[in-house]
Amino acid sequence: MKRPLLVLAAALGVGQTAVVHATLRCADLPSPIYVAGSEAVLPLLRLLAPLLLADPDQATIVFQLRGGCAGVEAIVRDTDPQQCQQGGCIVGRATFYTQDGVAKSCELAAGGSHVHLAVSEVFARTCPGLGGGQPRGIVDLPGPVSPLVLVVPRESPERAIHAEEAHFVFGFGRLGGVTPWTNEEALLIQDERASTQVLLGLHIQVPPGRFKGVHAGADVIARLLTADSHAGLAFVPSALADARRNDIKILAYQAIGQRGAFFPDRTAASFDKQNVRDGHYPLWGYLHAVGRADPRDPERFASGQAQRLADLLLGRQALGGTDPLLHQVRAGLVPQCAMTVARADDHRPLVPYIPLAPCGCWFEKNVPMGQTRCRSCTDDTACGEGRCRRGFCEVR
Amino acid sequence: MAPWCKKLLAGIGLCALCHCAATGPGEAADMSLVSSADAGQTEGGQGPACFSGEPQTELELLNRCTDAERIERAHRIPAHLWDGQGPLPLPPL
Repeated sequence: MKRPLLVLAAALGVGQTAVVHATLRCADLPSPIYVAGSEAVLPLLRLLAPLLLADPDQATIVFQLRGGCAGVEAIVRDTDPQQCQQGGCIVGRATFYTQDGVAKSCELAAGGSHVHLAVSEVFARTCPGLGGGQPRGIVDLPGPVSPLVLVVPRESPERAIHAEEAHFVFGFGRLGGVTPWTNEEALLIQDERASTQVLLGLHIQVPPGRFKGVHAGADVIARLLTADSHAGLAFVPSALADARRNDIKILAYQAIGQRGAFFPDRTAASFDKQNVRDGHYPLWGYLHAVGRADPRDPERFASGQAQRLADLLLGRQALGGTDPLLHQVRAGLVPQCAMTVARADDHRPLVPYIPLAPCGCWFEKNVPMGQTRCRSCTDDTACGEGRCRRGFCEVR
Repeated sequence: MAPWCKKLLAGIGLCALCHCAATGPGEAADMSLVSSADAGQTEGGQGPACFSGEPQTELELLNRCTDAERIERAHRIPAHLWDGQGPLPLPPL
């Protein structure tokens, strides 16, 4: 059990902290691509960054963690390429990865750096700071699925939480009276511009600006480990939680109207995201790539750098000879082709979904401790009415 | 998995991922609720009924029969704050 977790932890870069070089300017790095948004994308960026640095068309991913909707706002408000509008750029420090995958810190431009790409778990139109409706002049492409999990310290005896309980816990804190989560000092939250908080709020009916608790900061899990071991509760992307299962426990979640609570995975110990993929675990969002649109082609990004990175994040383009979908899987995300449910909007219900080229079997095989009940194949003849895809018989 | 279920799910493209309760071949495909004795480890004894037809709505997807581990326990919201049935105090977003 420990070994796969350690391997996963290594793949996700757990335990590495950014090394600060006070004089290093982000702008001096080779072809910086500025990215801002949700921590859910960090494991994937860490996998892609060294490959981009080694590519003949070299580029450096420079990332600032600031909440998915805050990243989207920086894109939407950045309407003048010549200068930074109010709220339209990122300032301060950002993180980049070396070719060895080591996280380092650099200084953004004093006047602000334009963001090429924002990454969020919710649609741009869901972000509360943008006033509702589809923001104009941007591209918003939903990519792989990022499950959101409620987590407690490993020592906690809790195994599950109801959506209605979470409503009272995060909506009313101590006054909600849901034991053991009544200590607001041990309830770790983000802010209303964090797409994780927006997403959770949609499911538990708590406005993202009304969450009770204390702000968790950049490393939610590290903070949770210092919280009250029985009353501690936080929410994080499963891509981060999966790498820390030796330290924390993922709670099963019971949605409103659901009979029983389910983990994202088939069991508490597996990594197959079976319940996310088949609709038993609704707490997830697509990881969106958001950027300024090309005025001549609103389907494409205005920035070539944004388009290139979006294509990599969304699995449309290979890099370093590796299957781009495999990067998503190794980063703890679920490719859309492995899903059998979909959601047209953050406010819309789940519906059955059949991908054009399903990859559920391949996905199950490639997660940590992966196994699949699907038949392996080399061509369609072994698959009856199905199709042989990525070495396994899929339904079409 | 029951043969009828396998056939049904193959038709809608879910066969590889979904695992219906093992009900008999004579049972109708659109039956809605069956016992979930195969629902995996539970807390609180016998599981509630699960949906075994072809899911169309989110509620049917959430409650479809599965072999996944399920945790069952009563909610812990104080009765004076919520009766377990009515709308939650904060409105839907």
